[in-house]
Amino acid sequence: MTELSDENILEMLSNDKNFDKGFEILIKNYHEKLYWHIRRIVHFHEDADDAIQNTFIKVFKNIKGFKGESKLYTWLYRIASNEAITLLNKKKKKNLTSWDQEVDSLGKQLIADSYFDEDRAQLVLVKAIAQLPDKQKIVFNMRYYDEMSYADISEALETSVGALKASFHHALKKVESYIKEHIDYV
Amino acid sequence: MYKDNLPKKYFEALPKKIWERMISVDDDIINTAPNLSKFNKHNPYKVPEKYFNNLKTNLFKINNRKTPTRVLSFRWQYAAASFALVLASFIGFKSLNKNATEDFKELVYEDVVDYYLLDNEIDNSLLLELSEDNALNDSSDEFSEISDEDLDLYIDIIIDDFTAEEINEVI
Repeated sequence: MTELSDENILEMLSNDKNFDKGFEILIKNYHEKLYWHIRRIVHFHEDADDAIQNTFIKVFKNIKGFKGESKLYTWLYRIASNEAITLLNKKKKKNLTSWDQEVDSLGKQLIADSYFDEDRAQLVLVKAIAQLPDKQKIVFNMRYYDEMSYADISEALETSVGALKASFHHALKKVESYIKEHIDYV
Repeated sequence: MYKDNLPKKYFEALPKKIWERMISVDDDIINTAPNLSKFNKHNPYKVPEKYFNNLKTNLFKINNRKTPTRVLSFRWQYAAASFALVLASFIGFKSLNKNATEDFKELVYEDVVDYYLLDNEIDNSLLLELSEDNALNDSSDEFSEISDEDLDLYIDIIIDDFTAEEINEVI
């Protein structure tokens, strides 16, 4: 079956009779994509599970107010990104540790996590991305993993394309420098 | 027929989209981060078996609720149950009507607030997650902004996990 477009979904959501079906299709189309987007930011499955549920609750509550000023998918990414950052901030408030302690602790937790591959190179990459400031991390993930255009990231994060290009460039340099320092066989 | 299911001017815009992705992402990476460019984009994260099917089913339920609330993960259920045990121990000295869960709720209310304010070790995330305001306002993660209704709901969730017999056992 052909996947319905965002425009079709919005059309269904605007009509009370088709709202339920439209919301179901929205979930089907986006639950995995948004889960992985969140998971790369929060790292742990249980946190991602919390954040994805909160994301869709927010979407449900606010979809009728969506005026189509941005694309549906960039709006969804914006909500998911905010949920992921909210969750990270809550965790940071509890763990008042320094940046390098935080990255080190993340590495140890991931090694012990059964939902993470035991791949040393990937662990280094995850830690390299984790050292980035939150927003830069999101820009990096959207560009590197999701391969989103700057125009779409700009819509999702409400940031200018110029700032995003600079942010991604700095992120690349930091990630590269971390990889060079921490891995000897790439 | 298929055309109806595609965004307007999809095919006209497609070559530009592909070109932009091919050129800029890879060029940026190869030029700025040659070591990173040697990595494949393998996803190191895993999910429990059938997770996405279950997630989809849970998310569909959002649509059927008047006021959507999140489905508590096992971790939160565990946290709520643990907190309930701690609470019940804390207020164990109070004389309670052993068979009345509703009376229990009323009596524990002030103690919940006091206990929470005294002991920051208690994880406040569950409270925050339950807050309706929190779902709409990202800046509301201060305990002071959690309403009485949210606290009531919190206590309800904790206590509803217990049967009257279990509560009596604890106290």
